[in-house]
Order: sequence, then C-alpha cells, then structure tokens
Amino acid sequence: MDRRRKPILVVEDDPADREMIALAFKRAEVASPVVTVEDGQEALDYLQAQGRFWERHPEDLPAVIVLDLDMPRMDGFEFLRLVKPTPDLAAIPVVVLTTSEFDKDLSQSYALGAKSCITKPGDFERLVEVARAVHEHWCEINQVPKGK
Amino acid sequence: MRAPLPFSRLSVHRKVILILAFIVLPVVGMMVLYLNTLRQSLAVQEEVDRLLEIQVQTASILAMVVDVQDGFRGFVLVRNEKFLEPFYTAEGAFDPAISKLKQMVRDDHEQLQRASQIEARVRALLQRKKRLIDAVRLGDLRPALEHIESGEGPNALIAIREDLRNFENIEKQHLSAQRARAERLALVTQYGLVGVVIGILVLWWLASLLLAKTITGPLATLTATAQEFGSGRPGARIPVFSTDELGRLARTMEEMQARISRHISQMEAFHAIGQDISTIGPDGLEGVLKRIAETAGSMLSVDLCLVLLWDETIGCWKVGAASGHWHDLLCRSVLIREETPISFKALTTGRPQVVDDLEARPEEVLQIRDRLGGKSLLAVPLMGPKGAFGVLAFASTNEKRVFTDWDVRLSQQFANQAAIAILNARLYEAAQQRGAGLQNRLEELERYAVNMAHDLKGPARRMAELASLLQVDYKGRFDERSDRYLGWIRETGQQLMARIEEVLRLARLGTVRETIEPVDPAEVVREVIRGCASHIERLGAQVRVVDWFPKLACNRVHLFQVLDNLVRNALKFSVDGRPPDVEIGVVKQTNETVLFVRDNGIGIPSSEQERIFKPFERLGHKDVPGTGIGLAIVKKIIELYQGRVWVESEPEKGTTFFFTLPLYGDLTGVSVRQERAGS
Repeated sequence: MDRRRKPILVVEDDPADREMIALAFKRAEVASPVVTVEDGQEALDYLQAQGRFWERHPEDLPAVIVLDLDMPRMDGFEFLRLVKPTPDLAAIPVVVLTTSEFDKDLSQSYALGAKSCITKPGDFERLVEVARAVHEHWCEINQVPKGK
Repeated sequence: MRAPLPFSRLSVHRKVILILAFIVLPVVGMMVLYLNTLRQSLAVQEEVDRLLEIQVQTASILAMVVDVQDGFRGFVLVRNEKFLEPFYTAEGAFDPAISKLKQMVRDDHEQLQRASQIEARVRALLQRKKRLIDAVRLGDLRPALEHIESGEGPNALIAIREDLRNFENIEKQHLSAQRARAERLALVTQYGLVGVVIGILVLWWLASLLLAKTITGPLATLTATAQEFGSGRPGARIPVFSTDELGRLARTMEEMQARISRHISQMEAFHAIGQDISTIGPDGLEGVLKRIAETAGSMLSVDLCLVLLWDETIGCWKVGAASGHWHDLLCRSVLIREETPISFKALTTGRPQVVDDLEARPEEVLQIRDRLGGKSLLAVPLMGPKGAFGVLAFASTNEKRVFTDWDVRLSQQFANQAAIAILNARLYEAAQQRGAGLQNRLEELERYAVNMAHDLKGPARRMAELASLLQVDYKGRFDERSDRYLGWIRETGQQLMARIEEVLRLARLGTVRETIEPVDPAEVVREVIRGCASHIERLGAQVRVVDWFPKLACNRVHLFQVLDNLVRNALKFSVDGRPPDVEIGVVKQTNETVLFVRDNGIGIPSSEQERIFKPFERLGHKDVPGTGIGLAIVKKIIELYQGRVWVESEPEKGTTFFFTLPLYGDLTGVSVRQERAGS
C-alpha cells in the first residue's frame, strides 16, 4: 500500500489501560500506528498539531479516535463537544471505550457524535478482539473524506 | 319594586268579601226586578177578574132592563099579571147588582158617577113603568099605550145600554193600559234577566281573574317557589308584592329561604373548609392553624378568631393563629389562664361558652376584653382523643353580638373538624421530621453506594485485564503456580466486576423508564436456555418447557432477567450426583396466571425462604459461585409490575419459584409507564 496508514488515536488517562489498549492493538496485529494521549486536552493538541505534537504532519489525522469518558482535565464529553463542531475533525469517527454502563453516559456520547460505544471487557483476550474489530471496521472498511 | 295597587293593600278576607259582593249585588237586584214584575202581573190578573165581574153585572143589569121592558109590554098588551113576574124579579135584582157595580168602581170617581147615572136612569124607567102599570090596573090603558107607541121604552133601553157599554169600555181601556204596562215590565224583566246573567258571567270572570291575581296566583307562585327551593335551587325574590297575608307570607318565605340558603352555604363552606383546613401544605401545622383562624373568623363573620392551644407543660395558652391583622400581633404569644376564664372553662368542661356582653363582667380580668377590646365572646373547645387540647375563641370587637344557637352549633362542628386537622398536622409534621432525615440519609447512602460501585468497577476490570494480559502475553515465562495465581487474580477481578454490575443493575431498576411490549415467554425461555447451553450440557441437566405460554405485557429484558436468574439458580443449586431437572411452565390459578421455574435441587428450608429475596443473602452456600443478588433483582422487577413472586420448597427435594406478570391484553394494574416500542 502506497498511502500512509493513518494512526489510531487512543485517549485514556489510566496508564495501565493506555498501555493495555496499545498492546491489544499490537497483539491484534494492526498495521496502523497507535498514538496514545492522556486526556482530552492532549488529544486536542494532537489533532491541532500543537503543544508536544507541534511537529506532527498536518495531514496525519487519525483514522479513528478511541476515547475514554472519565478523564481529568478534559473528559470525553468535553472533548466530543469541542471536536464535533470543527468541520475538519468532525469526520473522524470516535469510538467510546469505557467502563461505564450507565445509559445516560452512552446516550450522551451518541448525542455528542460518538460513532460507537464499547464496554471495556475485563479480559485481555477480549480486549484484543475489540481492538481487532475496531481496526477492521474503522480503519479498513470505513471510508472518510480524503481531504485536501 | 312595584307600587302596590289600592286593591292589593286590602287583606285577603276583605278581598274575598268584596269579590263576593260584586256577584251577590246584581243577583239581589235581579230578584227585586223579578218580584216587581210578578206583582204587576198579579195586579193585571186582578184587574181582568174585576172587569169580568163588571161585565157580568152590566150584562145582568141590561138583562133586567130588557126584562122590565118586555114584562111591561106583555102586561099592557095582554093585561095578564103573569107578564109582570120578570118585571118584579128584575126590579128586585137591580139593587144588589148596581150596588155591587158601584162597590167595584168605588175608587174611580168618574165610573162611579157613570154608575150613578145608569142607576138614576134605570130607577126613572122603573118609576115610570110602575106608574103606568098602576094606571093600567086602574083601567086607564091609554097612557100606557101612548107610552108604548111613543117608543119611549126602547129609547130608554138604548140609552141605558149605551151607558153600560161606555162604562164597560172605559173599564176595558183601563185593563188594556194595565196589561200593556205589565207586558212592558215583563219585557224589561226578560232583558234584565239576560243582562243580569251576562253581567254575572262577566263579573264571575272578573272575580276569578281578580281572585287569581290576588289570591290563587300568588299562592301558586309561592308554591312554585317553595317547590323550586325544595328541589335545591337557590331561592330568589318571590314576585308577590301585595301587602296582604299572602304578601306577608311571601316575605316570611323569603326570609326563611334566605335563612336556609345561608345555612346551606354555611354548611357547604363548612364542608369545603373541612377539606381546605385538613390539607397539610408546605407551610405545615402553622399553615393549618392560620387557615383555621381565617376560615372560622369569616364563617361566623367575627372581628377576631383565635386558635388557642393549651400547653400542659407550662400551664398556659399559646396563640396558634389569629384571624386577619391580629395574626402577626398575637401568633405564638402566650395568654395566662387567669385572664382567659371563659376559654379556660370551655377547655375544662369541653363545652362551648358564650358571653354576649363581656362588659357586664367588670369584676373579672379578661384579656380578650381588656387587651383586645372584645365585646362578645364565644369559646368552643378543640377536642382531641384525651379531652380538649385547645379552644377556638370568636370575639366581636366592634359591637356586642348575640351568638345564636346556630352559631354555637356551627362553630362547634367546625372546631371538631379543626381539631382533627390540627392533630393530623401535628402527627404529620412529627413524622415528616423523622422521615425526612431518614429519607435523606437513605438517598445519600444509595447515591454513595452506586457511585462507589461504579468507581470500583474500573480497578476490578483493570486487575482482571492485567492478569489476563500477563497470562496471554507472558505465556510460558511463568511457572505453573504463578500462572494459577494469575488465573485466580483474573477470576477475582472478573467476579468483582460481575458483582458490581449486578449491584448497578439493581440500583438502576425502576429509575430508568422501560418500554412495555407484548412478550412471548416461550421466545425468552429459548434465549435463556441458549445462554445456559454450555452449562446445561456440562451438568447433564434436563430442561423441560411447557408448550404454550400466554403473552405477557412487560419489558422483554426484564422477563429475560427474571427467567435467566431463576434458571441459573435452578441449575446452580443441584444435589450432588443428581443431574438437575428444570421445568419451566405456567399454571392458571383462581384469577391470575402464574409462571414457574421448578428444580430438583437442594431446596430451601422454610425458615430461610423469606431471606432469599434480599440482596446478598446466599444461605451459606459459599461454594456455589454467584453474586447473591439475582433473586433480589427478580423480586424488584416483578414488583415493578405490581406482580408477586414466591417460593415453595422442600429441602433435598427441590424448589419452585412462582411469579406473576401482567398478561398482554389485560394491562390493568400496571403502574409502569406504558409505551409501545416506536417501531
């Protein structure tokens, strides 16, 4: 494949989870690179190529954002609220990966523009399956505008 | 109001007399007229009779005169004495006849004169004849013959006849005049009679109109008004304005209606008030007391109404509330017993006390009179279960007022209602204070538990995930024992997660609105069995399902949770060495349809059967995996639908769980919001 593989952006505050998710993508033998950030603010920095991501290639937007909800500084909802009205970023699918099973969290996520909600499984093998499925659906099958 | 007519000022008695007089007077007049006519016709009859008599007399006189003439002629020509017999007979009869005739016309001067003239003529004739007869007897015939030849005799006869005819004619004229008069009178009487009858009819009609207007009309109006009032319509002004007895009756009825209406409206107000004052609003007891004071004050329209509550511990009154502007001034103030003897008497005797004139009691110190300016006072006790606990005091401050029996009764009735309202409000307030604190703490605890469970879930999951990561990712690098421990860590974390999830699900039940839909339990049962398939296979269990279920009206997930929990339980608590035999079915009981899940497991001792539906009760079977919350969820779901769940069990034989859910098509009694799925 000629074209650069778009990365998968994982937004997760818990270091263990962050590492496990990244590892799960790795174990799922996902070809796309995985970028991890600690919270919504960092994710925003990444998307806008600022802060510690100032050197990021401007067209290097993620194929999918895997988003935790409960985070310090800027939580998942706030992040969705900021990203979704931005035309360039709105097309990036957001998959919410959370421990919460509260209906109101799920419906709020969808209302704010999340494309999918997945409960963290509590088993690494299942997590690998989730990672594989996310990659396959959002990075391989799903089509987004090619941009400028 | 219309000015009363002069007639309507009269009393009913006079009106009746007047109306009767109107009818009687013409009747009397007509009778007088008739009698007069009768008298007149009698007079005519008399006159006729007299005339006939006169005619008889004149005829006989004429006959006499003819007899005299004929006798005389015969005697002279034959000279036989025998011919003179009629002559003398006639002469003898003449005197009575002429005197009778004269007697009959004695009132009529002219006729009497004529009669005398006839008499004179007849007597002269007789005299002449007698002289001639005497001459004949003496043999001198010549004068007699001369007399006959001269025709003197017939001439005299003609003259006499003429006189008699005249006489008769005059009498006849009299009679016809009399008769004409009588006829005229009869005619007048005839027309008079017709006139009087018409007049009476007209008068009768007028009298009936007058009666209707002055007596029966007002009576009918009064009756109609009374009936209308009786049938519950409010009495209006009765349209009877006369000043007679009926008018007075109408006014009395109006007063009575007004009084009854006032009483009814008081009773209605009273009823409404009862509900109003019993309603415990956000202002609690204080609001109830205030409403009592206000409504009681306006109900009796007094200037001041006080709700006095007797404080047993300090032995004095506390003003619970006061009507109008007095409230801010008096509320919560204290009145001492010595200054309120009347209210205190009402409290101790439990009977209403009335003082129409407080100033007539100068010897006593009276707060209500001296400080509040009361002129009259009514104090009714507020009765509780242990006697009076307070008093409703009604005071008139502007002027003296006589409290009627009705006032006293009404106020006592009101006080009875008010007392209940006050006691209720007191109880409610006390209970609410206790309950509110408890409720707040419970809600706080629940929120805390839910949040904590939620917060714990993340770490538990992470622990399980990390352990499984190590097991997968570092496979072969741990020895067998480390691998086993890692397995335990993973399982513990997963159990913890499962348990937390159950807790959260239990907490969420009923707080989230669920959709009610028609559900076929057979489908749900199939799903449940599919979910447990591996479990069933491993245990070698047998699951029997009845062929047909009635459709239920509930949330599909709810039914799944119920059946899943019950089936898993049935599989779980089996007797060692005996493969589980589970039966899922339905029974019809008296008036409900009951689903059941039966097993042949270890059973539940009857002493424990109550506990099993409580969260985290596991009856000491620690070796059986589970969260201990499954049956609590079942119970909570069933109760959401106002259904029942119960258990029948025999230790070592088996257990049957029964539950009811609303049948589809028979949604009565479902309190969960009914919403059909949108699509």
